[in-house]
Amino acid sequence: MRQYFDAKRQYRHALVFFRMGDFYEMFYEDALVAARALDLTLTSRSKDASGAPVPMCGVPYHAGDTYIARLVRKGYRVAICEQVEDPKKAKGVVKREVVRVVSPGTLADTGYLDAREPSFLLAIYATSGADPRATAYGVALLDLSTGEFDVAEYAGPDGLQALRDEIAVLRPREVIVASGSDIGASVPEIAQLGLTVTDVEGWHFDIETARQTLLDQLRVASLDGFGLERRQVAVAAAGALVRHLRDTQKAELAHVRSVRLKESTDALVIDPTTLKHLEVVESTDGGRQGSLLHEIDRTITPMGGRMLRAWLLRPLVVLERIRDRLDAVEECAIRATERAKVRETLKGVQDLERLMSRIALATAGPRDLVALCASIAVVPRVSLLLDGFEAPLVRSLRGELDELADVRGWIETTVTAEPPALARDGGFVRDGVDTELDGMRHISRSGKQLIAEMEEQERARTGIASLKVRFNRVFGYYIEVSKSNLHAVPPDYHRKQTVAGGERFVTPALKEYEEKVLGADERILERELAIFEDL
Amino acid sequence: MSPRGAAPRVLDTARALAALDVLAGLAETASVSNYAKPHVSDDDTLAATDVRHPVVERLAGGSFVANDVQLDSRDHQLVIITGPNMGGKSTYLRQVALLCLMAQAGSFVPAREAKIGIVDRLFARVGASDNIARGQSTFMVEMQETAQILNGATSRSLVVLDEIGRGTATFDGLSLAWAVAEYLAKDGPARPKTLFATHYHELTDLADAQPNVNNAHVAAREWKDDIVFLHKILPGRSDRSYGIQVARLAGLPGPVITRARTILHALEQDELSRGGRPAISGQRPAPTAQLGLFQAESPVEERLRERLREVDINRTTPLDALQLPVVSWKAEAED
Repeated sequence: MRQYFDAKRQYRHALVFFRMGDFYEMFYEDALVAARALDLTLTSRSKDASGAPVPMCGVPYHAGDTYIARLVRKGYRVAICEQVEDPKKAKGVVKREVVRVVSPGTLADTGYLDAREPSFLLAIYATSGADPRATAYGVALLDLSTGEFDVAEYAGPDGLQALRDEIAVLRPREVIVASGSDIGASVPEIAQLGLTVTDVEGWHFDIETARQTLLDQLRVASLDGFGLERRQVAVAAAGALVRHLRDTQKAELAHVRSVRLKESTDALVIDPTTLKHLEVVESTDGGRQGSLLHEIDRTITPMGGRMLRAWLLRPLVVLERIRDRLDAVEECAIRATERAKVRETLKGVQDLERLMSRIALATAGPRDLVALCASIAVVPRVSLLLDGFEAPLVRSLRGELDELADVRGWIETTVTAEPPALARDGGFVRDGVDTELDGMRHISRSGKQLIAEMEEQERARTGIASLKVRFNRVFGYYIEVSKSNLHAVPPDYHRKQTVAGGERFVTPALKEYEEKVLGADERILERELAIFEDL
Repeated sequence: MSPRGAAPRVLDTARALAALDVLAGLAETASVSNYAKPHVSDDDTLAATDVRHPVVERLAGGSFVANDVQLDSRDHQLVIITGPNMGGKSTYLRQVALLCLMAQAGSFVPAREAKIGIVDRLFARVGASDNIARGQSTFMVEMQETAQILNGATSRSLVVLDEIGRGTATFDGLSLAWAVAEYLAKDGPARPKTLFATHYHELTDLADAQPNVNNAHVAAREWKDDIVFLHKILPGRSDRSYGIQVARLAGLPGPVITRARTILHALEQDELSRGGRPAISGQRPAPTAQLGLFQAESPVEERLRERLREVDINRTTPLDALQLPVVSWKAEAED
């Protein structure tokens, strides 16, 4: 239990999912909360030091994601505490560590997100000063499920109103503030919309610390390239946000390598009431049906759907950019044949942004890699179809298309064509990728071959034509002989089990092969998982 | 290269594909729904013909009546729209606001032709707000929202307002609507392009005094005491609101309609006796003459009121009621 208390102390605001064998267990207050929220049976575990029973409840680990998503959607945070060493090799208690914290703003699992809406996490930093009207606000906004990362600065009473409107329009899932800050008082929308608020230590917002975090994350030596060198409050919010994500996701966020500064003069300002009255993205009853978005959305891909939604929430004010879009739409409207072909081709593209984000966050499975590969495989065809287009925006977008042949090559040569959904099921790394893996597979395969051959040999030796060599999880490999043939069993057969139709035996030779095969299989899976982690 | 290492390149490509998907999708919508490419410019004019509401148009299935719009910073800076409720004012306001929003988002627009001067802010207050659930009164919310507009709009903004002042007493509402319209048209720091729908006909007088204010009305045709909404927005003021005909359509009982007609007639007479329109345009300073409706009571009326007050309905049986000295009251009143 000491490990449990360590984890709980570190992640006080989260429910700790404590991995024990095939279950995630929760204890004490966490157990009471989770049992109520998930409708689980509350049990109790022996006694604590003072002799009182410890409340406890658990969920099977293979169904963990479902339960975690349910809790997170109710606004809870869940800290997943895994066994980080092999229980068989551990001396004493297996070592455990929190490997990820999932909260409303960090739930990046596609199965639980609306594909047509973003899932934003927002950090706010406010300068402190005697005059509240002079307060400046730095805001950072990140969609962990797509890697989209924006910052903005607001100042004065007008700025505060703009910030409040922005929050009401974007509806982030979670808001990060410095502990002890009273931003909630200036931004009542946070409470009105029921947003989850997460406190982090104030020094995370310290400008120098934040700048360093950001430089490190964006892998640059200066923030000039992003126009942020003098945007101190924005940098403070952005740095704190990145730091919080790295701390809770335990991943380097390889999909977050750029940030965009949003200027209030970039876009048509539409306040939340106007959006509601015009039913731009949702109708008065809160559904999509009946909204402008629903009426004009004929996008094919989920990314396209999210982008159109963003365009409608933030129309443009710069003439050239509006004209560029309209000219592009016009050319697509005129070139009906090419448009139909492009749209048909886009049907082969899955949610690339969210696939890539899962891969970056190490929550992807092998099948996600194959989906990524299939999705980027359409790029050359799209490029070709757009070859004759003249609208400047279409041309520049076409120029941004990267055929990603190297990535496709990597996946095609590394991963099998039809891999399992979960990495822990193994068997997805192709032969020839890794010599060590190939060696172990050779041992495993030849062992299995030997065992298969053994069936023939034993039939010949004993004269029992119906003799079978089989495998199950409890006994491993065994030889099964039917009742009527038991008299012919040789003396080196050791009986293991009696079943309805006969008896099961092992021989020393069989056990020897078995050890080779099973040992190799275990190491094969370890090796495959290691390759997958490094991708 | 491994996928994780290539994440930024994959994401850039994903976003380019997404943008192409959006552009091709908007083109598809433009073709299917017969939208036109708007002419966008940096000037201050919003002028379009045969504008439709993208959602209502489809629900109406071919019977939608398209309308024109003209707004600029000169003689069409603020347009006051009057006419019957149910006549399509709200839909009209929404479709004009959506016209700008769609064009500036990069979409074609549901109109035959549209010239759109880029706007910097868009304010629409059309239809009830749902803030009532938060325990604020409708009127309070309405006024807060109006305040946001008056404080936030610039001369490059577009404002569409529906029935400002509807949430309070008639004279309060009229006064507020009048003052808000005046602020947007002449007194305020900014003069945003504004569509101002109201059921206060008095507001149409504003156009007489302000050259940048224009009137428009929703056309309706009376036919044998019934009303037919034409859903057409036409220049000029409407002479009446057809409220009673609308109430009849809505199924109010016959006696209520008849009674309402009588009251309306009386009120109209009274208004004429006060010298007719424009009653409160500020051009005819005769405020004391306008109090006819609520003049102080005569002593007789006061006495009768007192008599009635003395009757305790809760302790009056039907038989008692018949025996009330109604006859003597009548005599007293006719004295």
